[in-house]
Amino acid sequence: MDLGWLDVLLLRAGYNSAVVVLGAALLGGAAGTIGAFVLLRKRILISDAISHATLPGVALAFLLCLAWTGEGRRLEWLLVGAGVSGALGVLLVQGIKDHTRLPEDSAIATVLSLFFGLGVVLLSYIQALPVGGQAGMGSFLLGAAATLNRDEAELIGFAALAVVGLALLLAKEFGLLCFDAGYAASRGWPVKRLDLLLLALLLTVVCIGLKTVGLILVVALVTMPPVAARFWTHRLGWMVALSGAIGALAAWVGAAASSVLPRLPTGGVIVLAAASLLIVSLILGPARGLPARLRRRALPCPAPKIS
Amino acid sequence: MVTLLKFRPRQRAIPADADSPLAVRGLTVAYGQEPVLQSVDFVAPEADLVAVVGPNGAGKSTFIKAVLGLQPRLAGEVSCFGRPVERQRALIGYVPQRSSVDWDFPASALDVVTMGLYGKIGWCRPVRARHRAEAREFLAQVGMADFAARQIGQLSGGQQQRVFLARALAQDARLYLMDEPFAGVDAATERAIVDVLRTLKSRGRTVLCVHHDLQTAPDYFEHLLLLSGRVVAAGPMATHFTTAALAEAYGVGVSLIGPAAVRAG
Amino acid sequence: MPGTEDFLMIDLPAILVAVLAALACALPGNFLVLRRQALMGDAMSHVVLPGIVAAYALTGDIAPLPMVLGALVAALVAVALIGGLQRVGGLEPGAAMGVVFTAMFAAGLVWLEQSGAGNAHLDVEHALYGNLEGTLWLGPASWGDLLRAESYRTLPTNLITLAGVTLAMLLLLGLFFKELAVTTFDPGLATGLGISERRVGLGLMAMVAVAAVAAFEAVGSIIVIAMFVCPPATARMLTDRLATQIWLSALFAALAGAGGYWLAAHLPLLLGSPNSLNAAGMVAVAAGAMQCLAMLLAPRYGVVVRAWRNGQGVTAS
Repeated sequence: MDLGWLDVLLLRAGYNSAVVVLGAALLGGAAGTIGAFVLLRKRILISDAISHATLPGVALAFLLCLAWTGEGRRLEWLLVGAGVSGALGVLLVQGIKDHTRLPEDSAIATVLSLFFGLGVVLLSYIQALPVGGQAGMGSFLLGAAATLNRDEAELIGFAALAVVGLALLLAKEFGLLCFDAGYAASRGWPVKRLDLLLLALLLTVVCIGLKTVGLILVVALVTMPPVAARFWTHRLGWMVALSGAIGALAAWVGAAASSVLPRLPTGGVIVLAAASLLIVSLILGPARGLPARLRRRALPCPAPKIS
Repeated sequence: MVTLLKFRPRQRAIPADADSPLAVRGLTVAYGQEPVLQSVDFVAPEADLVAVVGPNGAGKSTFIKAVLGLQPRLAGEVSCFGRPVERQRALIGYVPQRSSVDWDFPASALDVVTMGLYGKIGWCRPVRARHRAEAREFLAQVGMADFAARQIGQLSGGQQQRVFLARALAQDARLYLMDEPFAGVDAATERAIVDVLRTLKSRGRTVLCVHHDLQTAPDYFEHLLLLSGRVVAAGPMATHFTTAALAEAYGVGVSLIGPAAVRAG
Repeated sequence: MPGTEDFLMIDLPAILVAVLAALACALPGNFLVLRRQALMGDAMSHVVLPGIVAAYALTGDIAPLPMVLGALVAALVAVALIGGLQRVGGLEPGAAMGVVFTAMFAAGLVWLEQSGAGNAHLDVEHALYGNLEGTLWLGPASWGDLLRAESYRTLPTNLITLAGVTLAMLLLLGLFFKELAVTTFDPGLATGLGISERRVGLGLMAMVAVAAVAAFEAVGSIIVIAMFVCPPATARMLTDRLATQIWLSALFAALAGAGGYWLAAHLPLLLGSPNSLNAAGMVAVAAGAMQCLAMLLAPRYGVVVRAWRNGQGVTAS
């Protein structure tokens, strides 16, 4: 077993599994990159609302696709459905936050439960249908890299690359938005549109992550890498790069492990890998990890300098 | 994306006979049903230091934010060098009150100052070494050159304030709006800010500062905008900083001690 | 009367379980919404999974008591971890929560598959959707039987547990209403009054954990997530008084529980489809729909009303 796992990890187990593992790694890298900005914008939990909000869209897309083509499991259809209903979820969160007295966390929890409930109801309807192909729907909940085929993995990989490219292109603007949105607005930067673009990139990552990590755990894929990276550095550029790297590494290892052991839920393994990296970062990270804490405790607080 | 990319902050050539740096006409602002500012008229003189003074809740910060368009205006017009303020943002430097950013953010003092150059750098272009060198000079102007690499949360309050001042300098704006730059800073920072203000004036820039300290206002500024939900007094400090005007704005309890009292007398 | 028997055996216990689970979560949920911790319900409903798996691994059985205990321990561990990450790692609350609940859920998931319990006794989908439809009361066959004591010997255990937990929530809210209110509204004032904000906060978390675990066991995590936020948020749109908000939230929770179950059972029949829909999901949808209605139409704070009033205000001035 060990040898097989190593082979997959090192991409020696055939083209198919190499594509799946690489696709997952790119996905992890994109999630880490975007997650870094979303975390700094202090909106990381909106990804939880997005991921749960995709479920009714996936289910409806399955039904539409079934009615249209006679076969429900086309990843493109399902991803478009996920994207549309995830976007509706984001807009509803934003609408509740802006137009009612309820704060963002209540808005997120509301959208999450309403859409997830709707998705589960639709899934129960689908499961009772006398057609095939429903079995794959379960993988949207908990993720299963093993069920990905080559085309699907390539689609995920290219989408992830596009997300990373856009994020890097706009890194300066996103950094300004996250650090000081008020200042950015006063200088005439389109803060609202930048926010929407950031959420759109997050939505893309969540949608392509559904099949690999599952909608319940996809929030971890965007949260854990930047949190871990934050322990190592005080520089935004390094943090984004490191966060992407940590996400990619965790997804690589997790996807490789679960494609050899199909009973292992991919999402769970990837998240545990990311969590281990996070714990290591917490213990060793020089910028904000335990070493920095101990240093600060050992030194007396520097008195304010008066010159 | 197309509309996104339309915005390109850029310096515009200003005609020599342009209007005043800031002209506010009939500005009214309300929070919900509660009016905060009512029909404020104000014209800022060119190359002058203006103190925006008034009691708590007088609408000083609101005035600055409404001028910038960060706070919706119920009524009124704001123009900057003869054109609507929304189209002149590249000419305006804004130094917000200190509490508004996340001090844990992974950014160094130099990074923050570099943000002042983003408009000049433009969309999607990376920050280059020459931009950093330029930002370093602005840090030096506020006496913070030695702290360039320090994470902003690890600076003292006064040092942070100076970094944000350097960011405003980096913008090379024509009009500066500062929200209480002197609040809670140490003596060194206070001196550094005063130096920067004088430098800006000598370069022909106009600065509006929300200012709390009635004692120092006449020393640091030449022009006064005294607010209390409306304009109580506006004009040169020497003629308008009077006990009567202050009593009207603050109620009867105000008392001035020291040199300010002599001048206000 | 077979109709009556079916109702008493299948529908009545399921409705009671749904209503009680909704009440147990909605009552403490009021304070979660006001304290901006609404997502704690989501987190709690996920972290109980490793606790349940651990209980199974230790006892080799799916007896309810060890499972509830395991889930409770896991919930308390999660609360401690979230607090610890905020203090030691300097994380903001949202990020700390996101990290802890996903890590614990993932651990539970992987452990579940590894221990081999996944096929035999435990089922992740069951944990998510619950098994409301599977709650049976093999006692009364007619309305008259409800008056006889022996009918109640066969009452489903999770119904009894939930009734006890709901009662406990009511009692605790009654006893500590002042403390919860003041620490939620003004932590500074509370400290001045000698009320420990930290202790009350931990107490609230313990209540949330107990409610989540009891409800989770009976109805799955969807109802738990929805009930901690939707009924209190619906009530919050309608009133400014805390006590009124709590009573209203209880009313909406009960309505959602009963109405959602009824819809799941009867909506497909009305639409001419033979299969019933997932009841837990429908309860969540009902709660969310009620909240959307309240957000739009609430007399004072509703979006529609406020937009209309603003329109009036502009034309007046």
